Amino acid sequence: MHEIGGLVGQPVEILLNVFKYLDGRDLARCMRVSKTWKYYIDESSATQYAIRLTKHGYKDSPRAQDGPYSSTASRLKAFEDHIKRWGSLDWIEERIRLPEKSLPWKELAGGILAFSHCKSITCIKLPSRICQSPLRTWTHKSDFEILSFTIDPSQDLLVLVEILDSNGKISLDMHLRTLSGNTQHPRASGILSSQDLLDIDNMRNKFYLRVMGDAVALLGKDARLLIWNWLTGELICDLEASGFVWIGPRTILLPWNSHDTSVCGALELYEVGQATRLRKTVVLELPLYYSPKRLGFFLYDVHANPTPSGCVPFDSSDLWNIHVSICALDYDPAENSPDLVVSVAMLEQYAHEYLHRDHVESTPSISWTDWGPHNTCLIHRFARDHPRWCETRGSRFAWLDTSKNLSVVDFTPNLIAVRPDLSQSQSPTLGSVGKTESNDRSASVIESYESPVHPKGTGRPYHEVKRKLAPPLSEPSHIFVDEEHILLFAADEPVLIVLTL
Amino acid sequence: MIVSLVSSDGKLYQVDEAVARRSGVIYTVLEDIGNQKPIPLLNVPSHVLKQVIEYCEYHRTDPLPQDAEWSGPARAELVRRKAVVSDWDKKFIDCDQTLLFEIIQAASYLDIKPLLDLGCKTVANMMTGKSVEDIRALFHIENDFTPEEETAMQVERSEFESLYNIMIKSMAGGVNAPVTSLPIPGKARRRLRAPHY
Repeated sequence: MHEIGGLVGQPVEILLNVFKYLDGRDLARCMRVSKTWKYYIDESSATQYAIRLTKHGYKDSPRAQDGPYSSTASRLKAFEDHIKRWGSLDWIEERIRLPEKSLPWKELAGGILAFSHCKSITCIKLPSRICQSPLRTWTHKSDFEILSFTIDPSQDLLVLVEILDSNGKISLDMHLRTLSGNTQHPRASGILSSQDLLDIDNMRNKFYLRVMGDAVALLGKDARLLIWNWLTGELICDLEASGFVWIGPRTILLPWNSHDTSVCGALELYEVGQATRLRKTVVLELPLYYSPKRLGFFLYDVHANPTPSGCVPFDSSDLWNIHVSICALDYDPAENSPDLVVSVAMLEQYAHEYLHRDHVESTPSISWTDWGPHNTCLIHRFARDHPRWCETRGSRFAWLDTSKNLSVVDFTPNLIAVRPDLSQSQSPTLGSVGKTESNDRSASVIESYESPVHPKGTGRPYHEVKRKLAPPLSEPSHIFVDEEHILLFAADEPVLIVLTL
Repeated sequence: MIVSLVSSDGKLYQVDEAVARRSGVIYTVLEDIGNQKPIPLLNVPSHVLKQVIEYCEYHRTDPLPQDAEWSGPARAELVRRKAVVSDWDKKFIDCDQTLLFEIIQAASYLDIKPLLDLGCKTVANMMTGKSVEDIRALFHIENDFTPEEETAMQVERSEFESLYNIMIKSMAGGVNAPVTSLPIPGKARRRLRAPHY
């Protein structure tokens, strides 16, 4: 025995110093080693914070250099409050007037919603209850027509796409600006330019681009994916793809739409760089009744630059338009995670409309599916309430049904449901353009329950909560979800509803 | 300038002042009372002090760490960084467990933060990905939970690690295994164009 020299005899500060280097999953295991360890891990807010973050699929952000000092204990408290608010949909509603109804290009990333409108980019920094920061809006003008853009608030980067047409010679320019000041980005080498794009006329207005670290990927209508290193200006990858999602630095997930009838498609994980190579394939198999037709994928971003600005350009004329949101869970290329598990949320309304004609099934439904590399497939199906729009973020999944109920399902295990206090009955504030406090919750939360599915069973446990939106609310045209917000774009009036949790 | 250090078992070591100042404790002593007498280190035996001096000799020119715990990197960064250890450090810290913990204790006592971090990183690396039983065996820790407590924790664990278990089940040899794409019938290869460099 090593009582004197071993880890058992060490002072507590050394043990805590070791725990500092472990992630939530290792810490959860260490808790079961001995009572002493469990006591220290239970009592230390640093270890508890790490465990909670892992459990809910969050990552700690670097501490702000100029921000106010907050102890780990207070951060843990703020995080727990935040999770509770999601559990009970305790949101604060704000309505923002937009310049027009349909904004073709919009993106939500890092708590900033950006949209382009008439040679300008408007950024809305959404309010945050964790950071206690208010809503802030600013607009950048540009001297050219913005065909597409993307933002990466973590690097203060704004990428604007311009098409130049000089004497029939068409080229594409990507301007790398700062998001805060619309000046030349200090780390960028200059404008990224490409003359080599085939059929640029076809690609007009159909660019989709996303930044991950030092790489910026641009996808055009002709299924060509170009990736540049925006720091050096070097083109690092040129692939055929119908959509893409960044998974990590230099790691990208591409859909493969099979022409075969036995599988509905696959996802391929590519490592891009000097030698672009395929790392993994996940085959997506759906229940039998889907097989005769192919599915159209709409891939949405997951990690660093997380929320969609629209669907991936995809020729879906002969396909089912199924809204597929993909979240890659537990895959971190830098840490060599053992494998890739893909979770997919689907709104199957259109599929069922089609199926209805074949008299198979007629209820629109939403399903949540986990696919492992060996076709490990867990499906949750929600066939009630006639879903209209759905959106997913990590293990959280939100949808709106025809009776204007907003439902959120959380697949994070062990989440405690918080039932709203129904004793205080206040009349709900009529939503006008302005702010609605969350004290109308008592009247609007109508359902909250845990799933009986045990993890050992066929699916993951989940928590579902549903709350009615305050009127007036027209049919929304879009839902965006991120860690702290649910955004609803009204279809027939230029209003954005921001729900801050 | 040469500083004299005396280990707990009475051995005298003479080191350069720059080397000795790597230790926050010795730094304070030198600032406070100056370099007049040998400094007794009552908690550090000679075989450990020898190692500590070797480490400080090698790292004598490194910048001294900043004394601001809370402005340090986020945890995710620390977790990632634990795998980053220089070859020399790796070789230096590659010793039996008893000595490893003696070095950690000495680094803690003498306030040599980089050495303390190196030791703790090494211990954390030993624990990463290990099962509870493996960790107990590794550090000779007795299981003092009652069977009832174990069962209760088992339920908690299965909920926490449910997704992880699914992943383990479906493991195909890890990310670094040779690439084998699953056969998709009728699938044509994706075209990869040569990048223009």
